[in-house]
Amino acid sequence: MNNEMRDAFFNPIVDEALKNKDLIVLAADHTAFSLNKLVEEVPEQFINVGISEQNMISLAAGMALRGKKVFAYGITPFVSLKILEQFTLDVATQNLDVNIVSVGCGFAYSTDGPSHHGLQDIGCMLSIPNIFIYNCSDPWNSSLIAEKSLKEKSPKYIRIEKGNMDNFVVDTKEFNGCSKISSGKDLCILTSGAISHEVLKASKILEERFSIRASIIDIYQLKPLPEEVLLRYISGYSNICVIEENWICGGFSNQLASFILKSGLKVNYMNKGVREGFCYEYGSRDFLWNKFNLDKVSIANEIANWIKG
Amino acid sequence: MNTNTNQINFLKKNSIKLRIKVLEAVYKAGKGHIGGAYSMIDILTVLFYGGFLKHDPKNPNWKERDIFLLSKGHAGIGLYCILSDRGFFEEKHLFELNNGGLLGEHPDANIPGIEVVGGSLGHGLGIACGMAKADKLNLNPRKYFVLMGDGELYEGSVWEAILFTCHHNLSNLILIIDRNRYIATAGTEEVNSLSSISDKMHSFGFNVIEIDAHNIEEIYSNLTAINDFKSKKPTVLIANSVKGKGVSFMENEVSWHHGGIREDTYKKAKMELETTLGD
Repeated sequence: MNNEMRDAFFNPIVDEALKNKDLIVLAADHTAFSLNKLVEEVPEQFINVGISEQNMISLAAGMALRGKKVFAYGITPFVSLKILEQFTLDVATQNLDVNIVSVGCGFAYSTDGPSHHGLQDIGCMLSIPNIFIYNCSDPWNSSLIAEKSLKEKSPKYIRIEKGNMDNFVVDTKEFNGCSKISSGKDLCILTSGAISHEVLKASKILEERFSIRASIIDIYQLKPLPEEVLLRYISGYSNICVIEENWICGGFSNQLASFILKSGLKVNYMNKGVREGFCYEYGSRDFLWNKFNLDKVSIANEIANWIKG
Repeated sequence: MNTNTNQINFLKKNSIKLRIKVLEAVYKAGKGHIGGAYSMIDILTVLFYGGFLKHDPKNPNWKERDIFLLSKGHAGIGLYCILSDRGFFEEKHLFELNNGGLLGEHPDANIPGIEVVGGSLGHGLGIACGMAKADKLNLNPRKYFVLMGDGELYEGSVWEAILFTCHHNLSNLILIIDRNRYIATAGTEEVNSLSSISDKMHSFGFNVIEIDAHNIEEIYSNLTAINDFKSKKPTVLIANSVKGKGVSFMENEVSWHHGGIREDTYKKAKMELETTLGD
């Protein structure tokens, strides 16, 4: 089975493009193996716009206004921070069917320095009305999000991953916006994206070393939050923890805290993200997680200290 | 080229009438962007009344319409006066400008005849490129006119869009640059000199035409020529204009980019325009 995350997302998109001439993929000097078939078979539906992300989003808006379904692909900071105004004014104002596909979230480009780290894109995108935000964390939900994007005509910001990842064992195959990937009675951890895998590993340490059993909810739709399902998952827990691979000021912790507060649940709450500051460390993603105390051991230790007070 | 004298005379008179309407609306609103509206209004008059832009005021979303995008959204009042006069919406909206009605300082797509949200500079050409490219793929013969201020050339996104326009040979797109030589606070040549826009556009691969933006015959004959033009290249019309054109004390005066207008000044401007109209 192919567990490559870009393939899992793009394969359904390419299959649809081969049947639908109104599906256009724009790319800002970026590609993926799975897009080769598109380039070879329907080259007019794949346009490499060059290193011009802002114009890519304006182009996408124009194409969507003429009835095209557009996927605009690039590296996270350049298809979020750099294009924020184009996406807001050209796309979101008219609710256009423009799908930004963003690769390089968190520390995915771990050797490329602060210019390539995607630590604030969610915060940027949460500020835009009318849009959907998805965050892929395994091949299964990558494909599910691709299928959903094909069906729905709305502005979307879709974070995808690269490289191989395992599928989580989930409690439901429905598109619910979030899945339970681990069950436990002592606390509920809300997380999203690639770091969910590390959180799952941390939960094993929590159980083995500290006898703390955690439920883990992997949220793959961050806007709008799947509030009803989330509420069902978190009800009954007195300890809720949010873990993300973003700066807290640029991530989703704050909207989850606001949601929990509004829900009226009386809970102890903690969050953990990338500490504020710029990362000038260069190594693997695991290496950076370790540097920023987002590795499984640090996560487990911090949660254990918090729970045990 | 034979141009209809009556039509030219009509267009000349109409551009003055539209200037008066802009003045009245801005006076009523308390403030507005007169300078940039006056520098572009002759071109818009010829476009909309000269038969160069297919449109249907009773059906703004008519599928066969040509598309006009005002990239310099701050000059919206100039376009609103034309849209209202053409019948896209009632004239009363002009006199509710900025006061709880349909119209604000910058255009938005809820206004009949407006395609996109304006106000932030450097967006119009990129959006038009996307539309024009999609129409090329669909073999749709629609034409696109984008009117941009020369100050917008300071925006990096414009150059991204220019590269795309020329690389993709968007011959269905006509870019009009309102070369009034001013931004909000100063002259363009004092800030970051734009120098010869014509040379720049030639080097990118446009079919370049320079015109006097206030000579109705010249605008008309050049738009006629462009309409017949079979070039594979996109066309740029560099329209050498005067900011505030039509009212002597507003011309080339940076303070008339945006602001309020006192009653005595309003009356003076109106009298001057009415005198021109009567000549």
